[in-house]
Amino acid sequence: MAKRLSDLRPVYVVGIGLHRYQRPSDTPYVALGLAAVRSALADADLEWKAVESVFHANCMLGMAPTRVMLRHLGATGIPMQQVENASASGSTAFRNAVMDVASGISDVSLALGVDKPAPFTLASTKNGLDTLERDRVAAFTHFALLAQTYCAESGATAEDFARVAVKNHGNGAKNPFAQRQQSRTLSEILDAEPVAGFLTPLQCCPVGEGAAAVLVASEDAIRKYGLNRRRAPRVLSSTMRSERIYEPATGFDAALTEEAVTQAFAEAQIKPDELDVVELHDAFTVEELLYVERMGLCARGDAPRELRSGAFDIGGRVAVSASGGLLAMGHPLGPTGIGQIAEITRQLRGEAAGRQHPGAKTGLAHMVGVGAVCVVHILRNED
Amino acid sequence: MTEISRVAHPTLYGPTTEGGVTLFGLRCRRCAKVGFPRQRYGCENCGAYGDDLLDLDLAPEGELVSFAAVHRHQGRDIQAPFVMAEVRLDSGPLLRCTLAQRDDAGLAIGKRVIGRLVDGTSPDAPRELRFFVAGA
Repeated sequence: MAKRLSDLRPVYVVGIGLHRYQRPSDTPYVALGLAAVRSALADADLEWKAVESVFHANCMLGMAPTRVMLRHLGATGIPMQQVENASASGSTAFRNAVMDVASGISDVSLALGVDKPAPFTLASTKNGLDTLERDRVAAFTHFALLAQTYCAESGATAEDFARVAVKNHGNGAKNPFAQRQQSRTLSEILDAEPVAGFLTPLQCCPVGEGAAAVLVASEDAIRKYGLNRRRAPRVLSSTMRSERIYEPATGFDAALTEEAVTQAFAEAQIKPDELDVVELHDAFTVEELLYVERMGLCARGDAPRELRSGAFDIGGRVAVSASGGLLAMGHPLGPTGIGQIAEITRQLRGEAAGRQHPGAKTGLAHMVGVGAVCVVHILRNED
Repeated sequence: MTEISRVAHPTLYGPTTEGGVTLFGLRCRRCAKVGFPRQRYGCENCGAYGDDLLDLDLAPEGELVSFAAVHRHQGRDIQAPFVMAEVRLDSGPLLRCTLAQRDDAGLAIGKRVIGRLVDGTSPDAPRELRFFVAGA
């Protein structure tokens, strides 16, 4: 690797905007996206004509959705491109926007995620190779298998997984942009009929529709447009890794996470205990336990005990999924990773009313995309 | 196609003359990595491809690495409940496969499992590979 983000010019998040994540509706994707972008522009106090490039994350809209939507802001002729990287599409689009500014190509770039559920096919089903059980392994089954292994390694119980859902549904209840805005009791989570292994329905994320927009800018742009520097956290690191062969060949999601996060910490020159807020890929409850350990937020096998102690609550040692995470805020695919950046920015500004983690200065966003890839960003409010 | 060759995934496994089943795997000539399924695209470990990937028949025997009883499933022609498993073959590769039993009673990580061909769900259906806990 010739350069890291820290070798390039600084990049700041200057504007955030969301359309609530929700069940699929008749709302056109154009309306979802425009709402998020206009909200981000208003948040930054920027005009559309200041934006110099767009990276649009989506998985299910079909070919060429971007200009069809954004022309309604005024057809300025700027470069626009679609970004697809499965669940990590939004994180990847954000990374692209960050790199566009860090490299000096643009002074202001927009990372936008808009998606609506529609039938899709994984390319791996067309690779010319048969598999024994592709049709039988839904996403929740993949993570139920990981949960079983985690239990054997750590002594965790079904209740430990359910407690992740209790926390994150509780956080989602305080987030007006969350798809699920209802607190749940342990028995509501635990006593439902399982879908696979330990996992019950409320331990699995909803895939709905929504939009998230984040504007990133250089110091030059902040000065030129008179933006509020104190509301603009800096992007300290941007890392992406893809799956290698791990020995033993199990738990690649966690191993891949550890690789990407380790690189992110090195690039940001911080340690795990400096994190105040973390938004991670908790599409299924077991993932939060696996990933907080691999991120170094606690020792291996200690996540259930730490969770029970409140360490990962808002107001705890480090707030994990203060937005509600994928479990409650939702996982509309394209927007998800960008929505994480919006939540962390809100927390670092001290503007997350009702779910603010006190004194939040540094945050980490993490997504895994099937395939598999992992994208990690670390942000810090330097003021 | 002869009766004995009618299996659900003929590129992945087939019956042996002894009445058992063999998995169609490969071994990389360059790095000795054993893989499944058989393919010529390239070795995931070292990138060798084509004739450097040698056919290798793998015994369907190994150790249970994980399992999950699946209670809901929307796939075509697949009825829940069933039990998915991860099995590490004695030859190395990790497989995802279906266990013969329909619930997770008596299962534990580390148990020995063996694959066998079982009849399909209807008289015309091809035989399928299912794994059994050894000694059960």
